[in-house]
Amino acid sequence: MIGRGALGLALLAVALVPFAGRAYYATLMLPFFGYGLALLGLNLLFGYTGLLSFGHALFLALGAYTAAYLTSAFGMVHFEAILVSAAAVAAVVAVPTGLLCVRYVKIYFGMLTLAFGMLFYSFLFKFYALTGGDEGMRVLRPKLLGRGFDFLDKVEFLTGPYYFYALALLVLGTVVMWRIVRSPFGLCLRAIRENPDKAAAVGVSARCYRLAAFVIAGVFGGVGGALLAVPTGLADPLLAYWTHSGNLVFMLLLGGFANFFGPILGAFVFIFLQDQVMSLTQYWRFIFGALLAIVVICFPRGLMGLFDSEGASAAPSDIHRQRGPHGPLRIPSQRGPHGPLRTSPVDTPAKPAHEPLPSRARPAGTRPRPLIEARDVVKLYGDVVALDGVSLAVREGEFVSIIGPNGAGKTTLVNVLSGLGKPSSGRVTFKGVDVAGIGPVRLVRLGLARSFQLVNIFPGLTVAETLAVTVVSRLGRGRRLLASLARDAEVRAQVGDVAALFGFADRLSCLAGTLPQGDKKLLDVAGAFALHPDVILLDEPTSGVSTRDKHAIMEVLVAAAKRIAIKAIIQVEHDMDIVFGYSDRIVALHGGRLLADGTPAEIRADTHVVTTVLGKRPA
Amino acid sequence: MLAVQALTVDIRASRILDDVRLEVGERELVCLVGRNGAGKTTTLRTIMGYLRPVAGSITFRGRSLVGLRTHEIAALGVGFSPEESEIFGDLTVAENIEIATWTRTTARSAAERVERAWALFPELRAYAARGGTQLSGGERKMLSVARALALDPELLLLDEPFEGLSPAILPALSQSIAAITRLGHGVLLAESNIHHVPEHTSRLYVIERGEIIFAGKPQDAQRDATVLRIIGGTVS
Repeated sequence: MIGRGALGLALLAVALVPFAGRAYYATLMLPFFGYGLALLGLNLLFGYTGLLSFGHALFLALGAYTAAYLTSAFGMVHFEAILVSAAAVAAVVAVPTGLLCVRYVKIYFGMLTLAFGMLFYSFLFKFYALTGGDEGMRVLRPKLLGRGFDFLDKVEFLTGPYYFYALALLVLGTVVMWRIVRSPFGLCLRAIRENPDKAAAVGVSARCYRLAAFVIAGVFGGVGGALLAVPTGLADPLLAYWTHSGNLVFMLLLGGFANFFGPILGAFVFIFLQDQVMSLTQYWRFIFGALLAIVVICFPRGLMGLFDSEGASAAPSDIHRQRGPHGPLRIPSQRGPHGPLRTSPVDTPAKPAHEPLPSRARPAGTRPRPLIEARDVVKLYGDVVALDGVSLAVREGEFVSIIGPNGAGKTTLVNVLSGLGKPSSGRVTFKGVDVAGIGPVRLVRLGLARSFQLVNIFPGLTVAETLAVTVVSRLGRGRRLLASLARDAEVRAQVGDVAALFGFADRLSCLAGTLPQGDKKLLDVAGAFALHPDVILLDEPTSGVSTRDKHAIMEVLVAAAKRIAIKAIIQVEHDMDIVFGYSDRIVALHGGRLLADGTPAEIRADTHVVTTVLGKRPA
Repeated sequence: MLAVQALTVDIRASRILDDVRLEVGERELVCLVGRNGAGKTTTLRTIMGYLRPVAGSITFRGRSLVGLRTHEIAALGVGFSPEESEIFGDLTVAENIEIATWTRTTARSAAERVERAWALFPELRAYAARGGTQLSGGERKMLSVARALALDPELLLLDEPFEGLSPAILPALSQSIAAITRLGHGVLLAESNIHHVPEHTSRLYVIERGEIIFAGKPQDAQRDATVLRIIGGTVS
């Protein structure tokens, strides 16, 4: 592979710098190692999680001051202990700041991180007795692996043992970060970057994962800061100043945040360019400002964008890499066996649609307890009454359709049932637990999944990755930071199963954002099924596809529901062929109120419902 | 008024439209029918200037639209209601409609244009002061169509106008679209569901895998075996 060869060559070149004569270039490389590490962390936050921090220099300063404190105040000179302490201090600070910052996104997140960075800068600057104020604190020469190298002078030490120590640390950090971004955890971060609400709907809590990314980024920053402080021999408040954070962001943009190695390249180019331009003119900041403008306007993907022209945005994982044709919707034949998919024993490939879902051991004559129940639910949006006292109970084995005119409150009801909106009054229970407003993440764990009426996907993830997010969420793999997603056979198999079932098998590597409308919705539905819920809520799952395809999709849904033993389906639907063809029960809403609740036959016979919902007299 | 000739469009190096030809005349209602992913939306988005064709021409009243920007095309009098509605969430329903009267001036007064848009979906009027994000999916669709009409366009492009709408209001919308053509507008309507094709359709195009496989009267389409196989005339 060309990429791997280039990487090896670059590593070799960096390792040979100290032998290339002038020590000057080797000393110039030293900050690169520290910045490289810090930027790997910063890019986990920005490139992968979508959060741009303007205060990341805070963590570099923390690492540098930790090194200064340990060496000059406590006489602790073992560099390993210093690095571990820097990481620990960074983590300890990152948890509370992260808890506050990750509640916000975009500009608010940026401003909050900026505020924390400047707060720390002021602390360093003003608390003279503790931090040395503007003079900073000295960082003494550390011992590497217990050895002091006292026979070397400062430059020899820095361009000799320390150089290779720092290089090894950067390589180690790169390997760790490489594994993190390719792990199930890394996939969840990218899903959150693409669409945090959708991530929550499949059980991935944006806040928890963002916090984890923030802490990891902080730890990388702290270690990078400690590494930076040794060559300068000083920790000073400017390390935490906002222009330093700005430089980090500049390096990120220069190298290209969409590529894993972009930030490292950015740090390298920045340092050498700064050195060259500073020696030419005192107006180097002017030149750098112009350069930043050019990068953002002409090369938004940075220097790395020049190398990889197509795709490769923030390292898509390798699962299912084959390229499929970008054709129209292909639903697998209803008759044929559904491939290798046999999670539950099914005797006949497809049962008639109207047959009820399998309900377990239902004693004859008794009604099973409601799985999901809404009682007198009222939902107000400002002064708009979306739901006005709706009660509904869905039991095991039921396929319930919700119908009604536009604006009747159908989607609001689905939202309330799926924990998205807290009802203004009334109760919602799922399996006997009060779930009003507990949010989709916890409801997914309890066994409830949903799909959305309006397209709700991860545009920048492939079909395989989209389905993998759900499978990872269901299997609880999201905490695996260093495991390889590509080698996870179970995730792979389940993604393959659900993709085959919903006709995506030949388009696994298509970006979800490039699918046609109906397929985007079907992918959303497929994701909900991949959660293997007990109850599934489908909000107009087949809108935007032709009638013929609608029936094919419904057959797939019903077959899939049986295969993974879904206990109840609730769907919102306008197409009456579908509604009457598949439902056991129909609930009609009108103006936020329950208009009718009955079997298809009862609904068909109800003139009032038929005229309201269908707009015509029954034939 | 609209002539699309040999239109070929690639997205990410894969061919999405191949040699698409279609015409919309004055006072015509033309339907573009095809399955999901066949290229309907791409056709409309290319006419609207969101995508650049690899080859082919799009002429509107003798003027080429290829290379013009979307807002220039809209100012020429092409209204567009996108598949995803794309209403302005931070504006009220009334503002969503009014905005179209600011961007293009025509012989009709702004008040008249707004009134015609309201008349298309009377149920929207009750929500005039509501924010765009407070609307349900079907209401967004109505608003999107109403907004396109408020532009007072000479040609109206509607991408799946019936999607997500209650069957109760479909006949009314169908008639409203007919009324729009009687007012002198041309309408190009993309639809995946053949049952939704209005009765008074002047001409029907069927698109499959980026190619027009049928052009003619709706009645003839119902008799064409290939067309029926692809878009599925009847199900029951």
